Amino acid sequence: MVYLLVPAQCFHIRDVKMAKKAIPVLVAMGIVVLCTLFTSSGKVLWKFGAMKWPLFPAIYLIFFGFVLHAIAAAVLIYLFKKGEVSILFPVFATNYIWVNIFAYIFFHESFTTLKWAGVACIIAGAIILSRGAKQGRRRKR
Amino acid sequence: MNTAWFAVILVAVSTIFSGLSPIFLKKGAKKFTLNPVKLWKKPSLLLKNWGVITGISCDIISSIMNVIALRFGELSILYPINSLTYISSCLFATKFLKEKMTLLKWSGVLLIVIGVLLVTAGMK
Repeated sequence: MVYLLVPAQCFHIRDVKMAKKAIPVLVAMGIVVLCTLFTSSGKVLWKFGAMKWPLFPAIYLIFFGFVLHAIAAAVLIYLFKKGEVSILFPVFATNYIWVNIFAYIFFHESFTTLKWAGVACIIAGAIILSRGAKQGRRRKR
Repeated sequence: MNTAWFAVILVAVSTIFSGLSPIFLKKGAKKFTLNPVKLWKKPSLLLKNWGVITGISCDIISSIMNVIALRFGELSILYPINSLTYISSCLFATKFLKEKMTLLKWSGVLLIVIGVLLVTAGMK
């Protein structure tokens, strides 16, 4: 837990001023989870729009989904610039969980074991991939 | 609702574009600024920043393909296929940004592929 409360940049830059400005990892993780909620609700809007396509509100739904994506992407880029990407990036993979839940609620799609196993595999893969990226960066120095 | 095979393939192809976009964005990020004073003096910083422009348009292309695919399939199956973006951006980064592929990265790639196969195996 203590590890989570340390500002993210302390792992890389041992500059006191920078560390004071940096966002604590736990807060950053919370913001990333909010972003994933944004992107997954954007996906739900796209699905609604795609199902209603030739009808009137479809284009607005799709556009609003785009706006949600853009907001989330901007916040994420800002956070990744400030914080430790290899910690924050796997948290972003949680949106596969939200999308599964939303699809169950709004479109009555099935919860199957295979889907959840797949999502679990993908999240584990994302964690390992970002660990690997961190290792690569260290080796370069 | 059943999922069509070509919707799955369409999403898989769209991940190529969404994997290319961070590469272009990274190339454009050096010149990127939102400082209004600098932009007023030199608008070409944002308007002629081809890295950022191509990066964002790649993302838009891939999301349009996604919206088209969503009409012909279940959301909970098509969305996890988007995670192939991790792999394609990783491979493009090794090609264009000269980042190294380590054993750990390859094992992460393998896990993601297994996950995507599991999800697509669950479709009717």
